[in-house]
Formats: sequence, C-alpha cells, structure tokens
Amino acid sequence: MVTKVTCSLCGLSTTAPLYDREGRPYCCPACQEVAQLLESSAEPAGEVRPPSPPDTATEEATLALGDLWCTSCSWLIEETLKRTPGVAQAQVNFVRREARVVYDPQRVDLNRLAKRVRRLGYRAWLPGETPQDEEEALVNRLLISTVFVMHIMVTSFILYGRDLLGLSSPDTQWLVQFFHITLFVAALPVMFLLGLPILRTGLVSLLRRQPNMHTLIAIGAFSAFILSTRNLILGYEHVYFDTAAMLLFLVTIGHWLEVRARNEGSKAVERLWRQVPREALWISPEGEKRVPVDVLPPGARVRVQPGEPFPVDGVVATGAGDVDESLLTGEPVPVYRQPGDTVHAGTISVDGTFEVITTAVGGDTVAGQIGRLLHQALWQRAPVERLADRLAALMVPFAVLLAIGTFVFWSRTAGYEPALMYALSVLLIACPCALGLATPLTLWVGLQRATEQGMLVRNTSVLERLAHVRHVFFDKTGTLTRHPLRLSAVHVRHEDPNAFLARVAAAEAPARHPLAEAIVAAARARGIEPPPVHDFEALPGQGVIARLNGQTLYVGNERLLAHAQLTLPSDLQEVGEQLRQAGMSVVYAGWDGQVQGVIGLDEDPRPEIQEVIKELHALGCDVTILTGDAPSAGERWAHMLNVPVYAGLTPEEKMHYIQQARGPVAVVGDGINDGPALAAADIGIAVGQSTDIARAAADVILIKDDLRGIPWLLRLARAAMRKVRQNLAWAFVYNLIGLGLAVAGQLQPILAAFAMVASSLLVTTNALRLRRFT
Amino acid sequence: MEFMPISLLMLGLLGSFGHCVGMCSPVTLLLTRPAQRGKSSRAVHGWLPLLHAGRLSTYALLGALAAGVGQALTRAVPQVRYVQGLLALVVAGVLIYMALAAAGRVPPVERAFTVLTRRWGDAVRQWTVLATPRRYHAFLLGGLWGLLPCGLVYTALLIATTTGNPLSAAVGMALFGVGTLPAMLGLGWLSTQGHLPSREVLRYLAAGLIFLFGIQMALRGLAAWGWVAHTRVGGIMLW
Repeated sequence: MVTKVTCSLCGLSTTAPLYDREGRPYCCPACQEVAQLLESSAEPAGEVRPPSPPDTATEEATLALGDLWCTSCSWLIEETLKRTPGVAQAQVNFVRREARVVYDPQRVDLNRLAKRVRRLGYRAWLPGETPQDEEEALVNRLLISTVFVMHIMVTSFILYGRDLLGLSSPDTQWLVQFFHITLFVAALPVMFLLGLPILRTGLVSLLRRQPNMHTLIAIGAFSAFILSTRNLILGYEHVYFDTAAMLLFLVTIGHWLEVRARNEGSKAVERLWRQVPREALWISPEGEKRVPVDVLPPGARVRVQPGEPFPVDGVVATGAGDVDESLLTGEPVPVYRQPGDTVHAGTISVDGTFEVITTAVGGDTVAGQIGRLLHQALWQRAPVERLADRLAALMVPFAVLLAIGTFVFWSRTAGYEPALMYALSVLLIACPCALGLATPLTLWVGLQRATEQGMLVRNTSVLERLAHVRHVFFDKTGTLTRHPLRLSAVHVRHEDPNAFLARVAAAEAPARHPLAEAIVAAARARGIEPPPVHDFEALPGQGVIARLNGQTLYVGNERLLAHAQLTLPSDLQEVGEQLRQAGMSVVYAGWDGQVQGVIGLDEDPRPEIQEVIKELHALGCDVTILTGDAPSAGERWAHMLNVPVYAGLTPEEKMHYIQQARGPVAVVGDGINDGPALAAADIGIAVGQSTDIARAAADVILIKDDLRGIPWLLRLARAAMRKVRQNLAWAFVYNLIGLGLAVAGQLQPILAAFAMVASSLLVTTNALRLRRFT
Repeated sequence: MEFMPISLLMLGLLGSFGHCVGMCSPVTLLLTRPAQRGKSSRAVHGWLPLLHAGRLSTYALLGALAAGVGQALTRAVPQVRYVQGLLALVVAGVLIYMALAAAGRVPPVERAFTVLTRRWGDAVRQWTVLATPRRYHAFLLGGLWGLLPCGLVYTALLIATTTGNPLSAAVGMALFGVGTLPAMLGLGWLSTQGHLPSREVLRYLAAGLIFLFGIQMALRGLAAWGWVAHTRVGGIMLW
C-alpha cells in the first residue's frame, strides 16, 4: 500500500508529493507555485510597500548591456531591475548600453542582477568584464544569415522564373514541393537568428503599450512565416519564406547601420578617455613607483617622459617642452609649457620630461569633466528629437489602420494571401524608422564634431537653439582681449609706487577678475609678494574691499569710490581721465578715506576679433558689446570694431540689455564673472580654458581659446538643423510615395523592405556627412 | 465526435469540483486582489466575470490552436492508416495515464511542467502588484490564469485535439471552462454540504471519464489498423 499525503493547498491526496522548503507537501508544482504566490502577496490590500529607508547601506554599480534594440528594451531592463528585491534605484541608458543600479548588498548581489537581465534574453556584463562588441556580434549574426538568405533568394528566383517563363508543368510539381521544403529549412535559422530579437523587442513594446516599428515588423515577418509553414504542410501552392527572411535580413541591416552610426558618433568621447593613462609614475618620498591614478593624493609629484600622455591635471614643477593639447582644444600645433604652467590629463608631452604637481585626477580633470558633460548630453533630448518621436508615435497606429484597411479592401478582391502581402508592404513602408533615427543622429554628430574642435556643447538642444541665434553679445572684459592684461601705468600721491602696488596686489590677490589677476601678476613680476588680507569681499561691477594690518583697502572703479565715500583728489582724477582717454582700464585704490593712487591697465585685443565680427555679420547676426568699463574705453572699441558698444554697465544693466534684445540671443563671456548674463541669454558661451568647466554657467564652453569658434559653431548648428529638416522632409515624401504604391498593391514586401533600408541608409549617410563639417 | 463538447463540459464540472476547488479558489483570491486595491469602483465592477471570461478565452484559444496543430499533423501524414492508428494509440496511452493521475494513483502530469509553472508564477507576480488596476487587466489576468499548467486542462485539450476542427475544439474548450464555473464561482462549499458526493468521489468520476476517453482512442487506433471494426451509433463514429 502506497502512503498517501494530503496536498497542503488543495487538500487532495497524492501518492507522489512535492515538498517546499518548509516541508509542506503539495500534489503538483501548480499548487506549490500558487501557495508561494499567496505567501509573497500576503501584504494587506491597499498598502503600498514602503520605500526602503535611505540610511541602509547601499552600493552603486554599472552593468554593461548588450543586444538592446530600441528604447523599449531599456525600459524592460529598468523595470525588471527595479522590481528585484533589494534594488533601490535602476537607470538604463540606451545610448551608452549601461545600467546603473543602486542596491542593498545584503539582499542582492550583482551576479543575480546580471542573471536577471540575461534571463530576459539580453547580455549583461559585470563591472570589470569586457563587454563583447555589439557591432561584431550583430555582424556575425548577419553573416550567418546571409548564407541562408542567399540560398533562399536563389531558390526563390528559380521558382519565380518557373512561373514567369511559363515552364510550370505537372511533371515538375514535385520539384516545387522540394524547393518549398528547402526554403523552409533555410528560413528557419534566419527566423531564429534575426527574428527572435525583433520579436522580443516588438512584444516588449506592445507590453509597454508603445508599439513601434519592431512590433510591426515582427508581426509581418512571423505572420508571413507561419502562413507559409501552414501552406507548406497543407500542400498549398504559395509560400512566402523569401519575404519573411528577406524582411528580417534587411531590417537587421538597417539596425546594424544604426549601431555603426552611433558607434562612430561616440568615438570622440572614447578617444578622450583612452588617452588618459590609468597609471602614473609617482615620485614619493619613499621613491618612484607606478601607481593607479586614483590613489594619488593631491599635490603628488608625477613624472612624464617625452611622448607620454599626462595622467593628471597639474602644474609643471620642473621641465619644459612642447605639449600636444589637440585632444582638448582641437588645436593641432603643440604649445610650449614651462614651470608654473598648467597641464591637463590626456594631453601629450611631445619632447619634454616634466615633473607635475597633481591638482586633479580622474573625473575631476578637465578631460574627466568633458567626459561627464558629454555623457550628460546624451541623456537629454532636444525638442526637435521629441517632435520626431511624437511623429513616429503617431505614424504607428496610422500605419496599422492603413494596413488593416488595405487588407480588408484587397481580401475582397484579390483573396486573403495577396491582401496580407499588400498589408505587409504598407506596414513596412509606413515605418517611421528613418524619421526616428535621423534627427538624434544628426544632432549627435554635430555635438561630436564640436567637441573635436575644442568646443563643448552641453546638450543637443543647445545646438538646436544655436541655429536660431540672431544676436551675439560680447562681454568685453576678458573675452575680446587676449589675457593677460598689461599693467602700464601707476600713479601715486605720496607713497613709494612699489609699496602702493604691494597693498593693491594684496587686496586683489583673492579676486578672480582679469583686472585683479593682471595687477597681482605685475606685482609679482616686480618681486613683490602680496601679504595676506582679511575680510576680503568682492563687489560685482565695482571692485574689492579687504583689510590689511587693520586698514581697510578699497580697490575698484568710480562706483566703488562712491560706495565707499572716498574723496578723489583732482590731480588723480585728471590722471585717471587721461589714462581712460588712452583706452586703458582704470583702477583706483584708496584707504583712510582718500584715493591714494591710480593704476592703468592696457588690453591687447584678440587678433581674430575683427574677422569674427565680420563673419558673424555675414551670418546675419547683430553684434553688440556690453562692458562694465568706462564709456571712453568703450568708444575705442566701437571705433575699432564698428559695432555698438554699451559701456559703464552694472551686471543688472547687462542683463537688462540682454533680455531686451529681440530673438534668440547668445552671450559670450568668461563664464565665471558674468554667470548671470550668460544664464539670462538663450545661449551662454564661455571662452577660455577654464579648469572648472563643470561649474561654468554656460551652454557652450570654448576650451580652445579662440573666438573664431563662435561663428564656426553657429554655422555647424545651422548645417545640422538644415540636415534635420532635409531628412524629415525626405522621409515624409519618400514614405508618402511608397505608401501610395503599397496601398495600391504595386509594391512587393521585399521591395518595400529594400526601400526602407535604402531610406535609412540615405538618411544616416546624410547625417554622418556632418562629421566632415569644417 | 459530436458528443465531444458535452463530454468536455462534464469533465470540467466533475474535475473542477474534485481538483480545482482546492487549488483555484486561492488563485481567485489572488487575482481579485488588484481589484480590492483599486480605488475606483469602475475598475472593480465586473472584475470577476471578466477574470473568468479571460480564462475561458484562453481555453478556447488553446483549443483552437491544439486542434489546428492536430489538423496540420493529420494532413502532414496523410492517408497512412498505420501512422494515424499509432498516433491514436499514443494519445490513448497519455489519456489513460492522465486518468490515473487524476485519481491520484501516479504522479500528476503537472510534474512535467515545473519550469513552465515557475515562469507562470513570475508572470502573475508581476501582474498582481499593479498599482492602478484597470478593467481590462482583469481580462488579461484571467487569460494568464488559463495558462496555468494544469493536468485537467491538458487532458481536455488532448481530447479537443482529436476533433481535428479548430472551431469545434474552441467551443468544446469553452464549454469545459463553463463546466468549471460553478466550482469557481463560490459554489465550492456545496461539495462540503453532503448534498453532493464528496470531492474524492467526484475526482474518481472525472478520472473514470478520462479513462473512457482513453479507451475510445485506443479502440480507434486499433480500428485504424483493422484489428477491430469501426463502430457507429446513429451516424456518430464511436471508434
């Protein structure tokens, strides 16, 4: 007698029970699974699981992903990761093929997360593993499929030819059957290799309630395949294996083109990173050793040999020579660097042996910051991209409706199977893939091209806005002139000029204004080291206040004098007026209630400024100069450049002018002192290599210290937007014509697929042509 | 095989009171949980009928698919009586095993679908945590419910396959589902009331019905081989 056990769920007796971890018996797996489900959802109805408290120890990691087809795939992975217990946050970046996860290491480990992603049919690599090149994997699939597809085409042509040439006879009917079977055998691997990824993407999009072109293609290809298989089994005449296989093949080629284009696009970022070495030769008190750059403390001394790239940002301590900075600035001519100069990670020492005092490593270096900004740029979508997405989202239901209409119409006149084929053609030709692909790609390439030229554009929407700029404001200080300013006149009342200069330099030393930097530099050049000051305060648009040995020092322009109620002796006022007439910037310095001296600073205009303004005018842009300097200095600029100059402005007045201007406005400044003005503009452009790129309040950062980048960038943006419009118009017209043919039943599905790929190819080629923009 | 749909209805009725009451009542509980969580009464209204409509649709769909495959199979190996007979005998064997399983004498066929069952559980788990349930979710959940690997359903499918006609198989499977409805719609307590035979008895009745089907298939297979004579009752071929 067999012992009987009662199932703990359904209560039926069983002779072969299953046991769960707690030892409870079940009659079958279904009962066990249901019991588990009941247990796992035992929470009372209406209650939402509380978010895990933020103070629990979490870790962050990045998984590399593969085999993603469209954004629906990233959505699926993201949702799956988010629903894994122990995961606090999950974000998937489709472009970078990365998943960023914040998780509780006590409850889940990375291996399990990767496994969950893999179970969805995607690839996932743990940090440290080398992800397989996606393009290569795709090419492999395509190559294998090519063999089968060629086979299918040859066989199909024989069959087409048999009908067309009137050679069909009952004697050869068995041969037709045989060919049909070979077609099936050849199509099957293609369906698996190329069809399954598309099917998965299509189904996921459907699940997400955002059906896209992949949904349509999957439906089309698999319905053709299943219909053909049915016809083959039932011995009917028509099979469409060629259509199904060719369709998948061509669509995958389109996808491959897309992957390739994106890879090309992201090369600039990668090149940046690849050139920054991971190790540095550290000259520590204990001797020299090679260490990973991450462990270098600030101030560490690092040696770089000729031909080597700098591993860190830093200041040259010893050594001199040419440095190739083209990676950052796009400038091919090497720059001479000597002790005291700043060098950057990723730039290459051409012929010098340097010892560098580290100031920043890794992500804090300029190269690291650029990398991070570019990374961020990929996350954001420009309005015109969203427009393309919306159009695409509208096209899909439209295409489906049209296809259904085509099917219904033709099924009544031509029969079900031709009707199905016509409907398939309609689906294919109406697919807005070229539309969805072209726009982001174009903007992307534009962004990369700008980066290569040493211009950092924060995101693609900046490029879109740049194309519309019709008015460019220059903030004179530091942007129209070449650094450094030259101290060319010092007039004092009583004191020794050097002692005077020492005090002024002391007050200006903490300031970051170009005038201040010039004064401090001049003092140092005369062997004066400015003593430290207390209670330093910078008044924007006026000057600085600081305390030295109990004395309050005021250094700045007339507005500061008024603010501080210092008396200005008439002789000094006269000197100041003369200096101003000569076109210099004038700085007053005073203490003890009186102005004690005047300093005149000369500015060398940038050599390229005339050319830049001419080019901007040629582009149809108004150019205006805004400056806080005195009107007389402004007049000199107005004369020299023949453009309107508004001088003597406070930062508030500058903003007012900018906001008054009609149409999209770009403001060019140094990014540090004129943050409000840059922020007020539609486009803020910061000039000059700044080590603090990420903090500059600008949409565009000219890393290369050359204003000619501005008209170039405007032209690039316009060219990019022109391409976007061209591509949209092209896709629209092309699809409309194709659609007409397809609805009329004049377009074979294979031809429709060909047309689609050709359109994609054309559009991507057009976008990639922007890479050669000069 | 005109009496096939009625047989399936009987199978559903007997089998559900025997087996499903125990297992699928908890499932009902589980799948109505999103409705309880939903705030809007509109979403909750009609949740249960939609749930069962979804389940029945899945059955009908599976029936049509199974019959379609069966049809394709019989056409793919046409006119070979011996092969047809062999197929019928194989089906008969499986049915008899299922009958024994339904009676609890051998391990249930569900055992073969452990992996599938786990997948099913994963899917349901994702669906039952819906934050804002909509009414069509009930239908989809019901459809998912119908996919739960279940020996009784598979038995019914196997029987439906033998009709060789997708439409009548779909109708038959839907009727099978209708047969399970009384047990599912809260009439389960009847079986504990003494007015009806006990669950174990109903279970044996269902097993017996499946066994008879198995015997019928076996006779058909033997008839195809010419070892027994074909028998008809009033135009309906028994075997």
